[in-house]
Amino acid sequence: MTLLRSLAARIAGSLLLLVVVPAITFFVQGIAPANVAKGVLGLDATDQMIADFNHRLGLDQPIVLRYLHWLGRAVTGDLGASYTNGQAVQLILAPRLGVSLSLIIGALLVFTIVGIVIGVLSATQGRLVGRLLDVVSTVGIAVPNFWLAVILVVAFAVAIPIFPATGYVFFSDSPPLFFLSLVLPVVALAFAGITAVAKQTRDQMLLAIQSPWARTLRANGAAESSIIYKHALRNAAAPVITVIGTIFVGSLSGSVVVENIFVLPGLGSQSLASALQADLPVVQGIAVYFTIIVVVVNVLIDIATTILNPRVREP
Amino acid sequence: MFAPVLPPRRGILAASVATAALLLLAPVLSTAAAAATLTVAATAGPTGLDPTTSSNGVPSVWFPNLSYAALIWRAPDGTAKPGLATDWKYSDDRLSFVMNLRSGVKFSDGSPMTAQDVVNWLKHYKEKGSFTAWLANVSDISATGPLQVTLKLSTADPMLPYGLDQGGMAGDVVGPAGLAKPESLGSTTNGAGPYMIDTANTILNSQYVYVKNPYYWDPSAQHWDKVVIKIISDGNSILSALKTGQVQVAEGAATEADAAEAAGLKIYSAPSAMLGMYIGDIDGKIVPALKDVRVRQALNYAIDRKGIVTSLYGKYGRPTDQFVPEGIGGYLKSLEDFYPYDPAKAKQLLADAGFPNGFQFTLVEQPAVSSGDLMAQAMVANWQDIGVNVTLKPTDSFATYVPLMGTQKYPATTLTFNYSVQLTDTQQLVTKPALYNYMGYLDQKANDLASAQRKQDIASPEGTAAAEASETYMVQGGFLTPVVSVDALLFASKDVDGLQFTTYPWSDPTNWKPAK
Repeated sequence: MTLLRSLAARIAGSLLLLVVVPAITFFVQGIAPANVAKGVLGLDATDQMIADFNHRLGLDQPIVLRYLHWLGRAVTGDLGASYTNGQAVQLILAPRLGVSLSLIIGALLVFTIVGIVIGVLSATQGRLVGRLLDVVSTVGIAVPNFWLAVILVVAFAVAIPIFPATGYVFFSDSPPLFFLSLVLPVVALAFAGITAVAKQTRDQMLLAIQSPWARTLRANGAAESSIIYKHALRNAAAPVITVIGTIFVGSLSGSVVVENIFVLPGLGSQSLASALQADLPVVQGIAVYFTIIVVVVNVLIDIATTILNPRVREP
Repeated sequence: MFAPVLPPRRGILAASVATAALLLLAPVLSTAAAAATLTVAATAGPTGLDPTTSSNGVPSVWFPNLSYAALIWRAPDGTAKPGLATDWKYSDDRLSFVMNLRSGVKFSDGSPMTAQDVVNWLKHYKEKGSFTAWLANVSDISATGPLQVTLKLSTADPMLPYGLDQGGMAGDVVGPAGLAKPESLGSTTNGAGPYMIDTANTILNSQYVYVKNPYYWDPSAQHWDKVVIKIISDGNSILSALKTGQVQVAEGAATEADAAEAAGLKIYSAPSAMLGMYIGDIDGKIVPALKDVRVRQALNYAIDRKGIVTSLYGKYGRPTDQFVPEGIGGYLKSLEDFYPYDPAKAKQLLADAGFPNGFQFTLVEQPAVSSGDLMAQAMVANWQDIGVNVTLKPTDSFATYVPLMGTQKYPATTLTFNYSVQLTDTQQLVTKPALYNYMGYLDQKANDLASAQRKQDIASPEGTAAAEASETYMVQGGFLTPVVSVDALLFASKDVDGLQFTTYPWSDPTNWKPAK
């Protein structure tokens, strides 16, 4: 029951986040000095044309009324229409959501699996590997993903043409090309995460391996592999998962840059284009989608942490 | 118990197979686009696909060019040729303009084009178009025959053939179904051009896919089964996509030209735009000093154009004091280097005008000026040397820039002005009303010179002489501070032909064809 209560409280808090973040996005955009009518209609637009445009889109209404109107429709699943091309926001974002999810989930899998494997190996295979990991970790944190992306393209798309330099292939069009088109973007996005997860895993593993209960297990004749992989890894998991969640949320902003460099038609590249066009409904829609992704990931992490941590699980 | 998923030897085998598969698939990727597909990279997408609100210049015009045939087609050499209209002419008094339309034209939904459709479109554009100034002197539009349209003019205007060509946008006739539902035109097309948008495969702001319009009147001009325009804002990504064969033609940048050349790509270029400073406060309402022609001339003499061009634009830019490049009527050899770099003379002019200690003003940076930040900073440094302190105000997008200028609180702005003909410069920069004249100043002589130009055919000797008179007045009056004439560039692979272009019309993807 404690687990369920804890989760219920977290989900309730997350729902609040779903209201607060889009509201902040809406009002920040509302007070920005952009004029979407002139941006869309051009320098030559007459006052009448601008007034008609603003009236048609409700932009002549007070911002609070506009927000309430947007919120009323959003709770029914209607995120409005683009100011610039008139298309429904859901239609614009639908194909892009899958692209972004495949990128960030791909990166999540890579930095989680590779990071944990490297972390465990460095904790168990001696100091040399550990020191090497320290160096690589520092490089991983220092290397910006846009720079790494360019290097990867030059090396593995231009010099050695294994992967495509740009573009995205939908899974339904060609599964092999889908995976190939994601390799370089996923690596560019995941690299910093790999090193961070590896370092966290190693530190937590070392703490666990050197703890009094590990010594007790050894004294009782438990096999070292059992201590490491059955007990230490489980104890180290909770803080590592928390770090993974933090990195995942950070990778959402990183995806904006990576999508632009690799020309992936995802939410990140759309957010940049729409922000420059002051296309507020689309930016607002992307904020909602990103918030939902963050909320879902946070809830999943809470569940995982709760299951792995007996102190949280037990009454 | 932790254990590797595969024993080491099987792991090596799997890795080898995967690597081999990747290597085998690599050629598939690079040739994924069939020979009948042209893939183009543009640095920015359009706000929408509706020609009513389309911007001009490259790459904006590429999108309507593909799906909307214009009433007049301007050939790459600049001559006006039949488009949806087969012929056209002004009346003797130049107050009416009659167009005869091509017969048998159908829009992409299969509906036939009638004279009334053209009338409805022109009326729609005159009311709501981005460049309504093209039709500002048109007082009446009517169908005067089953395939004839007549425009009545309130005053002579020789610019109609430019407004109605594929760069002017006012001639991009939209079909009746599109006009009946204008909100649909942002994401769909309803034109009589060679291609139409494939909405199922288009992702707005990322990838625009055009397929053949089955009703196009001249199938021999449909050189590709499919044209794809990918939006790639990053210059490195564009070059990588070109090098790996993912795109065949792309907007080029001067800063990437050497790398493109080294990669074996073809480079096409032509003078495309004047960059510099536009002064809106000619009346001196915000900065009184700017009202004095000597001050504006001093600002021109203070600029080291050659230095700026050498360091920022290389061989794809040329220092300029003028508003049109060589080859366009109105350009004068005698005006070249009219304002040589001469800080001493600039200081003297300031002193003569009563500003020996200089003055200060704020310069708004227009977004999308090529190397605009660096050019503006160099200009500010040059002006600092003669005692004029300029504060830069950057803007991030036109959605921010346009309303900022509309506040009438800023005396000047940097600008990119795309070349077409000299009368466009005069009409859009120094007359009242004018597109750029956001402060609404009136210079009677500039207006009179524009009126004189409007009475002549653009290409006639009289028209050229009138253009030269306007050009001379604008340069000598220091209405702007032109700095550099920059080239537009196209980078292309060797398997595409027909890419040569001139200053005007801008490059047009309907001219591009597979290399023989």
